[in-house]
Parts: sequence; C-alpha cells; structure tokens
Amino acid sequence: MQHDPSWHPDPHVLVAFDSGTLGEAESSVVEDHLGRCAQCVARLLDGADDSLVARLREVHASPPCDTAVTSQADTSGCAVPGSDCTLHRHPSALVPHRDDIAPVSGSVARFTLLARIGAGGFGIVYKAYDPDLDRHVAIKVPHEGILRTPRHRERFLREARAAATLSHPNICPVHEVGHWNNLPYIVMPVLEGATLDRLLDSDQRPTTQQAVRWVRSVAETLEYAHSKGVVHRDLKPSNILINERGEPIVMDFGLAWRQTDQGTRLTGDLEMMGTPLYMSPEQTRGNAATTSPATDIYSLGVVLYELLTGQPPFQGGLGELIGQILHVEPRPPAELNRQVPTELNAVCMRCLAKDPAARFPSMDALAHALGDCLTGPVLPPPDLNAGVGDPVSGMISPDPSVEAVAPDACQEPPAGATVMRRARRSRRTVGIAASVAGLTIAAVVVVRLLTDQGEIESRSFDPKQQGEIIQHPPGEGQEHANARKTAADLLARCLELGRSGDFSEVVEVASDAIRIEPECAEAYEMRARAYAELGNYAAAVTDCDTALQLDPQLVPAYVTSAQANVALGRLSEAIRAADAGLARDANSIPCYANRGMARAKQAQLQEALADFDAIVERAPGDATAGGHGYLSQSGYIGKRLCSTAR
Amino acid sequence: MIETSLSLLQRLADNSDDQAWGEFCRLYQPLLRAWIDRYGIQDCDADDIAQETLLALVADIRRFQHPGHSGAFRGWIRAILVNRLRVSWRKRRNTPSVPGTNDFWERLDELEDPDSSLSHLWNTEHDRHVLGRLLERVAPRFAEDTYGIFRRYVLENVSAAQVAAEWGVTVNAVFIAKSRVLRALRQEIALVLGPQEAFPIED
Ligand SMILES: [Zn+2]
Repeated sequence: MQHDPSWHPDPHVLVAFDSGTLGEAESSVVEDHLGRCAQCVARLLDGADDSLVARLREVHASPPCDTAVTSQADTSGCAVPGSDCTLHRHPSALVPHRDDIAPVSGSVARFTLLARIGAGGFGIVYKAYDPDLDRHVAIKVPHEGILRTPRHRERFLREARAAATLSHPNICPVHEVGHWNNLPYIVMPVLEGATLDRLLDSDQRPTTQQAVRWVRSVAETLEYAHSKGVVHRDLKPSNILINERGEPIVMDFGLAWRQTDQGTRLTGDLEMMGTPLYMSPEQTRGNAATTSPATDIYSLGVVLYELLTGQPPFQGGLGELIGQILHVEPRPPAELNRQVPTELNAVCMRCLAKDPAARFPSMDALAHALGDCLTGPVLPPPDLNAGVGDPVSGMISPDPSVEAVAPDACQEPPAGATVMRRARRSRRTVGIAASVAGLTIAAVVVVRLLTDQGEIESRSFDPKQQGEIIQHPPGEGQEHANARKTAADLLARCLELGRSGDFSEVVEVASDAIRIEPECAEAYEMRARAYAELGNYAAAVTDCDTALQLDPQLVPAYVTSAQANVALGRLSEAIRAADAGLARDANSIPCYANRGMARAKQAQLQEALADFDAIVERAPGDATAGGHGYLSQSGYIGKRLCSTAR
Repeated sequence: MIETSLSLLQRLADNSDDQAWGEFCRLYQPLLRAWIDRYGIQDCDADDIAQETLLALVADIRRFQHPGHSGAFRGWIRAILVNRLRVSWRKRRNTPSVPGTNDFWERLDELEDPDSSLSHLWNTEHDRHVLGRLLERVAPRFAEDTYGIFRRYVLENVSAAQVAAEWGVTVNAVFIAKSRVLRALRQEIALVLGPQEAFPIED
C-alpha cells in the first residue's frame, strides 16, 4: 500500500514520527516514504516543534550558570562539573557508560595491566605486573571522569593515606601511591582468596563456629584500627576476604576517616555506596558527624547475621530498607537458624541495637563476647537449609548430600557443581524476578476472589480501589459474601505483609483465610509461597498440591511447586510442575525460570538454555542501556550460567 | 500484565537493587552536589548533604505518586533538597566555616518557592543535566552522522536545509535522524523516570 504513489502517511502519523513517539516499525515505513516524497518532507519543515524538542533547545541555549547563590561560595567553572555541559559537547566526546570501559591491555606508570579483577568505589582494580620488583600487584585506578576535579583526586588519595596509617596482618596494606597522567593510583598486594559475599553466594557457607571465628578476628582487627583513630565505615561481606590460610583480611578503608582529624575526614561519595544493607541507623540518617566505632560494630553485626542465617537482617525496597534499619527490630538469628545458640544470638542482636550506646562498647568487648560463644557448649553441625529465606533461594539450594562434612570446615560443593555455585550468585536477581511476578500474580488473585469471576482478571490490585471491586454474585447469601470479603481482606493483608518480608505472618494470615474459606485455592497458594520464602519447602509443596486440587488452572501454584521442588532437589517433580504451569500459560516466565534451574541442576544445559532463551524472548529488556527488567535479567543470567558451565 | 521493563524509579521503589541505586546516584549526585556547593557549604558537609538528600529521595520514592503533570519529579527533588539543606544547616549551625547566615535562609526560601527565578534556574539545570546524561546513554547507539545531524538540528537549532548542506545529505535525512534519536531519548526517559515524566518548557 505504501508503494501506491498517491499514499501519504496521515498528518498525525507524521507528527508522531517527527517527535519520536511513533513505533519502530511504523517509523521505518515513514522513513522509507520520506525518501520518495518531497511533499511530506515539506510538511515536516512546516510542522511545529513538540515540547521535548523545544525544551532541549531551551536548555541547550541557556548558558550554564556558574554563580553561587550565596555570596561566599566557590564559583569555579560550570555548575555541574563535567556533566552539566553534556549538551555542549561534541558527540565524539561522548563515552559509553563507565562500566563498559574495561581495558586489560596497556599500562599505568611502570605497571603492565594484566586483567581487570574488580570494580568498586572510585576505581577499577587491575591485576598488574611490577617489573621493578618483579611481582604481581593489584592496582586501583580511578574511573575516568570520576576524578574530574582536584578535590576528587585529593579524596582518592586520602583513601590510601587512611589505609597507609594502618599496619596489621589482617588489613590489606598499601604498597605505594602515585600519579600517572594526572590521575592518582594505589598499589596493593594481590590477595588470594574469596570475599565473604562470594562465599555467601556460593555453596561454601561457613559453619556457625567458623563464622564466629572469622567475625571475632575481624573485630580484633578493627579494634586495632579504632585504636589508631580510623573507623572503617563501610564494612560489608565484599570488603572482607578470606585468604588461603582461612584468615579474614579487611579491605577497602575507602570510606574511612580519622576520628582525630574531623577537618579532613573522608565522607563517602555516594558512588561508593552499595545498597544501605550494611549501614547503621546513624549512617542512614546521614548523620556522618556522629559516626563512631559503634557504626562499625553495627555493620559487623550485619555481616555476622548474614553469615549465621544466610540473609541480611533487613531486605526490601530501598526506602523500606531504610525505614526498617531505623525502626524495626530484626528477627533474632536463632529464629532463622536453629543452630545459633542463645548467647551468640544475643551477641548478634546487641551489635544491631538501634542506639549506638546500647551496642558493645568496643570491638574488643565484641571479640571477647564472641570468644565466650566459642568456648561454650560444642556447637551442633551446620544446618545447610537454615536461613534460606531468600526469595527463590530454593532454586539453588545446597545439595543435601554434602551435609555430612566436618563441622569446622567450609562446605565443599558437590562435584560438578560449578553451575550451581554460579547460579547462587544470581539468586537475588532471579529471586527478584519471581517476587515481582509473584506479587503481580497475588494481586490478580485478590481481585479474582473479590469479583468471584471464574477467570483471572488482568487487572492490577490497588488497595484504594478495593471497595469498588467488590461485587456480590446475585443470589449469594450475605453470610458467605461476608466470609468471601473477609478472606479477600486477609489475602490483601498477606500481600502487604509479603511486601515487607514478614512471611511468618503471611502464613498465619493465610491460614486464617483458609479457615474462613476452606475452598479457596488462592489462600493455599499464598501460604505455599510464604512457606517457600521461609525455607519450609515440604509444606509449600503440600499446600500447592491442595491448591491445585481445588483449582488445576492456578498457574502460580505450579510456579511455587516447581520452585519448592527445585529446592528439595526433586528435580523431576519440579520439571513436571513447571510443564503443567506452562501448559496453561505458555508465557509464564517464572515457570521457565524454575524449569531452567532444574534442568541446569540436572546438567541438561541445552534444555536449560532453551528455557532461559524463552525468558529473554518474552522479556527482552534493553541490554544496551544496562537497565533491562528483572524478568529478562533472570533469563540473561541463566544464559550466562549455561555458557560458563560449558 | 507482568511488567517487563520497570523504570529506574520503579526499581528503586520495589527492590534493594544495587544496580538501580548506583545508577540513581550517578545520575543525581553531581547535580545535587553542584547545588549544595552553591550554598557555600564546605566539601565534606556538602558530600554528607548530597548523601542525605539521595537517601531521603529513595526513602520517599514509594510515596512519590506521579501526579501525571509534567515536571513533577524535578520539583519533588528540589523540595527534598531544600528540606535537607535546612535540616543540615541547623545541625551544623555552629560550624564556623559556613558563611552568610541570612543570605543562606533567604536563598533557601527562594529555592522553595516554585515560581522564583532560582527555581527556574533549578528546572533548567535539572533538565539540562538529566537530558544530557540520558543523551549520553543514547548517543553511542547511533552512527556519528546520525547523532551529529540531530545535534545540529535539534540542539543547536540550525535550519534543516543548512544541516543537510553541512553533512551532505538530503533534508529528509535530517528528519530521520531527528526522529530516531528522539525516539531513543524518549525510551530512555521512560526507562529512567517512567513513562509519565516530561520536560516541560518554562513559562
Ligand atoms: Zn508523502
């Protein structure tokens, strides 16, 4: 039709094309047409600009303002250094996102770069060769563009100086600090070992006793740093490395500042901060002035908690997380891991006190208290399934066959478990995928219950609209209508509780819903999901079975069943459940994700890859922008797993 | 029904996602820092306030219901920045190196007033900064001439005929470049700030 010479795109299509709001396929038809039609080009020439174009021109034309609003402020250069002037820069000056810059050839000063071994804080860490001393070193160089100003360069150097004042066998030392091409760099030894975050993400979670030993050693190390007036301020599992001798090494005093010299204290650039998972309440308040050794005690308490239970004390959205850090008491670790003795539980909880004064008075005191835990009654062997409260952690649960290992050693991964060890690294992302999908599904469930429709309505749940949604089927008894309404309310409450991570309470409330509406498949499904979140996979499977007896079309129940069965190592059952789910909804991404994980566990990499491809195909996301959705991420990660495993 | 592509703000509200947090900080920290500097606050305090502002933004992000009118997001950030500056000022009042007390309060009040010239400056700089960052992300996806033509025609407001002559192309190529880059920019805006956000011109 577009080859008909009398055909022209509609005027409104042309306007949409001009403003970039037309879809890709339609745009290419218009593009094609413009090459042949001077008439339409003329129309575009006469067209009015849309508001985005007008705004782009406006902000581009207005000169960057470099005046301070108060009289004595610094007035150097552009208001927004380096970035403010983006619109004034030539496109060739535009560089890709800095995460993409990964040169592994070349040199920095006399050092030959060999490999990129990490990135964080201000810089990238390379493994490099030092020809003068004929040894390998780790060299940290700042991200290009990050140290734009002398101020930033100065701060990078202060990081090195803070660490350089410390000399301790359990602190990563600084070999030298230098300048190269106007940029500073820091040279450190190459440390062999694995950081705690990697151990936590692998199948090598420490035993309770080992965790206590490590944390005690870190506490002793920090006692030394505190005695030198240096507070770490950024303790987290990724900053603690377990070396080949099994000793913890504290790294990256990147946010450290000297208590004795507040004028030059280092505060964290936000680019250096990860999630606030390990931040103390006083830090989340942004109250840097009150940061003290007690801050490190809190953060170390979080690390201990995670080592003991496999999960940090608080999880959730960032806003929610900050609220919890400030106001919510964490669940005692002993509740999540029955192997944690009372005394150790108390030590951990004391570290996590909201009030810095209520924590241990010093790292020394903490180290002693941990020592007392070690000399107490002999700790029982580790419970590998304890603390697997992560969403979908079940997908990658440890193999029960490795349970019988020496209590004091790292858990050895089962033979051929490379895929799974890597898979665990991705469990958070995959978990998020399933949670997002889960919440959506649950929302549909509530709406369905409220409307009493036979079919799931594709309508998102908004508590504010709840009142409007309720319709009683004609002829239904008032009593039953009330019961239905109550059950719906309870399930809505479950959703809320689920969002804040309180899954034990979800179990309670869902059980109430079941008592009121015993035929309610959704309530069983809800409880199953909460059980799965709590690591009670057997109960999850039972509830899924009940839910599916009541309603064989309930796809979310197949999802949860698959997930729990993967966790239990019942891979064929998991695959069967996912198959059944997919037979009813061929686009169920969580079904593909769980089946993919099960197949990967069975070392059926081809088949697993097909499942992950199916996810990517259905949720392609946008890899170039680095911002693709969670759902597609689980697919991408799965694919990466499979390709690494090959 | 299942969202495949949540915006950055949505991701921040929904999950403690390291990547989203880093992305958000990289996007807004320089802008906040530049404005805090303007209030004559010394370096390390300015870093703290920028951090506090970002944390406050994130803590509040769930409550931020996009009212659908354009430019709401930048106004919301401005309000939180003003609030953090106030709180921090009170907290650090005794710090001797912070100058010009009265001036400071007046200028804060001015920034709080959405119709003040200072707020207009904020709007302009916010949009320039954010659009600039988003264009930075978009530009590498295009051939140099495509982006160059877009730049000359859209940003620098040179006539289509002249841009065509400069780059040795026909006029329709100018509109094609404009349409392609704008489409990518709009997608990027949706990906970061959500589909409702727009960058309205000043009155
Ligand atoms: Zn035409």
